[in-house]
Amino acid sequence: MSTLAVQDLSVVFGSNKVLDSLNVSFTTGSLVGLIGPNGAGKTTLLRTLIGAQKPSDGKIIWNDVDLKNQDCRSMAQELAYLPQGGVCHWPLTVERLVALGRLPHQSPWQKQSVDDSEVICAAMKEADIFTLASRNVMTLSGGERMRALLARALATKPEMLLADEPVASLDPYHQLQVMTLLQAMARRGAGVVVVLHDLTLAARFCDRLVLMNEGQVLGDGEPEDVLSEKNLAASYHVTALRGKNNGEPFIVPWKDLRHDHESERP
Amino acid sequence: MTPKSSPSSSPVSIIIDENAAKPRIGFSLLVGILSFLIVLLFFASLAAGPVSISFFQILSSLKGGDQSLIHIIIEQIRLPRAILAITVGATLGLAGAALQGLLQNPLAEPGLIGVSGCAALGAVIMFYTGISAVFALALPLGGIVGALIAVVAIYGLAGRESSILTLVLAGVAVNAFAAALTTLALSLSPNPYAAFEIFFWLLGSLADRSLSHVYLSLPLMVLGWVLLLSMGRALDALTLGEDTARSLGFNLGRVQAQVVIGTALAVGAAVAISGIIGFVGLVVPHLLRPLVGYQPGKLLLVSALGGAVLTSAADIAVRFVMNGPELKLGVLTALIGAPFFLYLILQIRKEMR
Amino acid sequence: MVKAFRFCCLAISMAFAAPALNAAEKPQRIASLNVCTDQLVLALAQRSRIASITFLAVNPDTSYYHQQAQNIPINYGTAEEILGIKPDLIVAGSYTTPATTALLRKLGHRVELFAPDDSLKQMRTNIKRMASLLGEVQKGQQLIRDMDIRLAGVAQTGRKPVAVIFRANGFTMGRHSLINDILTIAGFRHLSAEMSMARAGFLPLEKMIAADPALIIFGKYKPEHPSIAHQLLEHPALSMLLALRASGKKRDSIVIPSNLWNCGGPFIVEAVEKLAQKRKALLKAEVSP
Repeated sequence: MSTLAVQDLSVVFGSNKVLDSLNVSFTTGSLVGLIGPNGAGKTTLLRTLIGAQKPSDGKIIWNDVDLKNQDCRSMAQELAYLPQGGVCHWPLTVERLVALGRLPHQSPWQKQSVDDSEVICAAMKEADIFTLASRNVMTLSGGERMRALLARALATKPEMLLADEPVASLDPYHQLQVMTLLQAMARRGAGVVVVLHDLTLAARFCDRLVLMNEGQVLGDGEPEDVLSEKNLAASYHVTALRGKNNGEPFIVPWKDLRHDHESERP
Repeated sequence: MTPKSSPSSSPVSIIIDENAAKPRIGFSLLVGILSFLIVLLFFASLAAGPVSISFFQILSSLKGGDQSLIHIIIEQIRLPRAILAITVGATLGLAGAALQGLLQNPLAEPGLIGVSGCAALGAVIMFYTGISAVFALALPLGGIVGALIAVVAIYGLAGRESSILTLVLAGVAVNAFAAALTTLALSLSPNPYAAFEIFFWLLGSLADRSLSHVYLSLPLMVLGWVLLLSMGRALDALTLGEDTARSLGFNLGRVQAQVVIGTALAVGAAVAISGIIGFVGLVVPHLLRPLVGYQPGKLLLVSALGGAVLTSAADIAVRFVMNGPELKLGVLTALIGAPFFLYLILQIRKEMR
Repeated sequence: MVKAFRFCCLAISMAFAAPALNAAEKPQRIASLNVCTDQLVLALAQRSRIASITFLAVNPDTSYYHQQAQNIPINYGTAEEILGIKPDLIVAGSYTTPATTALLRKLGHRVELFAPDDSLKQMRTNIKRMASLLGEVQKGQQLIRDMDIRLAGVAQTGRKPVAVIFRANGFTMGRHSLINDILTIAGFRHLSAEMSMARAGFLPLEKMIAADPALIIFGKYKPEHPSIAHQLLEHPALSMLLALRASGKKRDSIVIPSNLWNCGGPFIVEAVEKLAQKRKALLKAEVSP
């Protein structure tokens, strides 16, 4: 089991403290939901973890070794990142896109090996886009493109996957599909950290939730505990309707707490 | 025709054919065809000139001909020209593909964004002040320094992930400034011929270049090629954006530095010898990109070869176009490249509506 | 018929009028707007009578008489400058800015235009005409006589090697040029003339090498300041050509100062003599390689 942890992590932009002495750790073998209001610092945390953002203070530790002392390439083999927005600058075929995931495992002048091809195929099958392998990425639907990018991350065969709002622009069908996939990944032994806005998805699929607010951790633990009324009010400024269906929870934001609608009705 | 949901941040998706499928031609085959064309054009270049020389004479001259007039013409006049057409062309094609991969912008090319313009300025200063007469390497080094300054300026003006428009505008600014300073430097030269040589520098020419020009520029160009060709994987990774590329193990700072330095070395040395030959770095990568499945990494080698083909062909054509003094090479590439550029702009306008 | 008669009368009267110029009628304030007319004026007139010459007259690259031209007021060829001097005779080239010469004429000045020296014959005509305009006919005749004596001393027998002048950018002069006549008198065959070049033009490097000239005359202008135009003159192909010793022929190069033949004048003899000397050396080297 591997652990990715941050100790007293701070990221400051000018006078704005985006991350404030953060302490949190993620282990392999679990699906962790990273939730919190816009501007809480979730994306910044992920970007700092993969090295795209330099911390102003604090440490990032992978398996008891400071990230600063780790080789870029070996980290790339163990850590995969799926950014927001699903960026792909050139109209590659799906297969070529997924093949990019093998880059960390290939030395500079090495061609694609048979092993690589097998992994790519397996990743495409797992993400259910194998049938679209020779299609141009730009012609795919949003859901299909997200699955292609996910396959790319899977092709890296990472120990840990950091995904930033992977289901944000997907329809309900594909949202469920992707969350199921991520859960299966975690069951297989990988660590998955996924930024979500949908509280029901977070509650249903995640083993653990980390609630961030204003650069700090507000709650860290079982979904039911983290998604308490108090936490929701303090972070999202909402109250929610809760329930269970066949033992699985659902939680729907209901009222925003800044304006009380009830009192405004005649 | 717009895709169902396009990644709005990408400036490239606008003018690329969205129905690109798997490349219909294998990579090795493509490289083979282009290499064959280069060899063909090399010999055609040796055979082209105001004095008619038979193919047999060319071959025997290359094998180490006797000291004859024909041999002098082949070895001292036509051979350097043929070699430079290939090396300068390869440089322009390669630099264009590398810049486009780095900036994820299909309009990035050394001429358009001002790199060639500043390289010419650097070379002009070294040449007309007489510094390169004392220290020959000063000429390509001047070009290299100029090219480096241009890239830094472009980054400063347009930023890292800039839109097509911003990049082209920044290029216009840098080019205008460089051209003005170059003209000024030439006008200030005491030699009366200097003022007219603006045509050479701004339009480029390979006429009457000698083997010494080849020796002067080739090592630096090759160094630049090595730096650029090894960027293939990094540019492939950048397809997914800077953050993902970082997570795939690529140090962005190093990637940028290597592309910038490689471009400056190769383009700086090339422009110092040949003047500004525009549009090769724009046209060649764009035409060849679909043939390599739009993969930036594979495009590098193929663009280098394609650039050599285009420049060699153009350099042969200029020798036949007019009866009097030769047409400048840059005029021909501009005649091909400018309409092409307009076509790209029209496509952008169509998509933006 | 009547017109022809009138013309004859005019011509005759002018012919008589010319020698009738005495000291009092010689122009006292001569202005020259062209570097070639500068040369003739400097050669023929007394310094005190020269009111203005062009700035090129003091430039050693363009003017043979640059030393003599020192301390004489110079002009840049504008009408305004000339008007200020109040000249009584203005001489210029027929290609001098027409607007300037037309304006000066309109303002009532006497402007005499000289055709460019594109042959020895034209040069002689120009010298004679300038001499007569300046009232120095004797001096003019003396100059021509001295020149002819020196030219006669140039050997004409023996083989005529092929020569060509190669200037910046590969520019060369053709059949109708002073250089052509100078080369011919010095005992050379002129390559450009044989290639049917009329006045002047560009000679591709390849063509020149293929034509295998025995003597290349390099025409340089301010060579200490670099230019791509002059870089062509240093092309390795040229030095290889000159070093070629095939078929027992010797090849050589020479630099003739451009002020010796930029314009026509008595000084062209020096160019002829330099070339004749070179020819002698070339022929000698062939006999005893």
